[in-house]
Amino acid sequence: MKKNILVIAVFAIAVLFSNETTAQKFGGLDKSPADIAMYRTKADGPIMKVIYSRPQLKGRTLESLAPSGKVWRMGANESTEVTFYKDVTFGGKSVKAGSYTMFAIPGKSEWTIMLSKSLHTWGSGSYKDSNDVVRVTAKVSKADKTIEAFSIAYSKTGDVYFGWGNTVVTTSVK
Amino acid sequence: MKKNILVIAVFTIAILFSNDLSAQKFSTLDKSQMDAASFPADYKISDKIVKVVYSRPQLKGRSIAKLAPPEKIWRTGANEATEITFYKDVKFGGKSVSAGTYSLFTIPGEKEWTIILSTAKNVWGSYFYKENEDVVRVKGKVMSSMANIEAFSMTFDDDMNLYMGWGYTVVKVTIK
Repeated sequence: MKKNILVIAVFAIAVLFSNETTAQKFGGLDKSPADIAMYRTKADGPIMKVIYSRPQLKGRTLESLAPSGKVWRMGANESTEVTFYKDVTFGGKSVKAGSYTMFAIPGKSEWTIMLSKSLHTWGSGSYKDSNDVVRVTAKVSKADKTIEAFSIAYSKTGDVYFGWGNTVVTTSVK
Repeated sequence: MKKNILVIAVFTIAILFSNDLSAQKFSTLDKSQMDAASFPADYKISDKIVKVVYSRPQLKGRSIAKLAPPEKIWRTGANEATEITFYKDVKFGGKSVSAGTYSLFTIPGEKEWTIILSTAKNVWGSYFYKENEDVVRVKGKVMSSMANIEAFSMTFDDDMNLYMGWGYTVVKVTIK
């Protein structure tokens, strides 16, 4: 009994002197981590930003993960989001400044890249071609080494690269 | 000399057969990976009110007091400054904030943290933080987590309150 009172007293003191506790749940680290690919120039500052998730091959083929002829989410989790900070020419077509979601249809020698005005969607399950802003075609080439995690990168002159496995897809932003 | 010629020949052949992308560097996965939290959290609801994009450093045996020292501006994540977007006008920590995108910084404290929204955009960490770009400074209550949170986390509860958690420290900011 004495011991119980002591325990209660210790608890009471601990509660008095500590912050309120919370059982708020936080998410663990995602298996397909998100990343940012930012294109900026000294003259113009930020031009294009992509927020995307980076799934990894883990022994699987690109063909099984992003099959030819089918709409691919270009990443994982939340739909991949592109922001242009000014009006641009993307893959040869005019696109107004703003945010868009980005999808692709993989192909053998070229991919179709779609920018959609639907925002904050998940994956490509809710993709509707009626929301397309532009569709552009992008050239396929071979990577010089296997790219394990889906990657987006830029050249200094505004080439935009999408790389996964042994495949590199190139378009441009101007 | 013969050896030199051989080396040059091998190089030439290698250059001939490699494609023009060989110089293109794709980056590897970041150690402090990025993540996003939004409200409503349900992925099926695309009509969001608030979204935060941040990087998730991990404790790796270090203390939060060392990684986010009290009374100093903390980048509240890693890499690019943490970015919060409101899709409508809100009351953030009790203060009016217009719809838009802001960088989010914090100043850790024992009982409460100061949370700063700034008009600075697309900046790296808190190195470029300027007080004159502040939109609001609000207070967030410090609470204790029941479990150790290894990776810095941001999340929303069902009432749109924003929680930031790392180690045993959780900071709550109201959004209405």
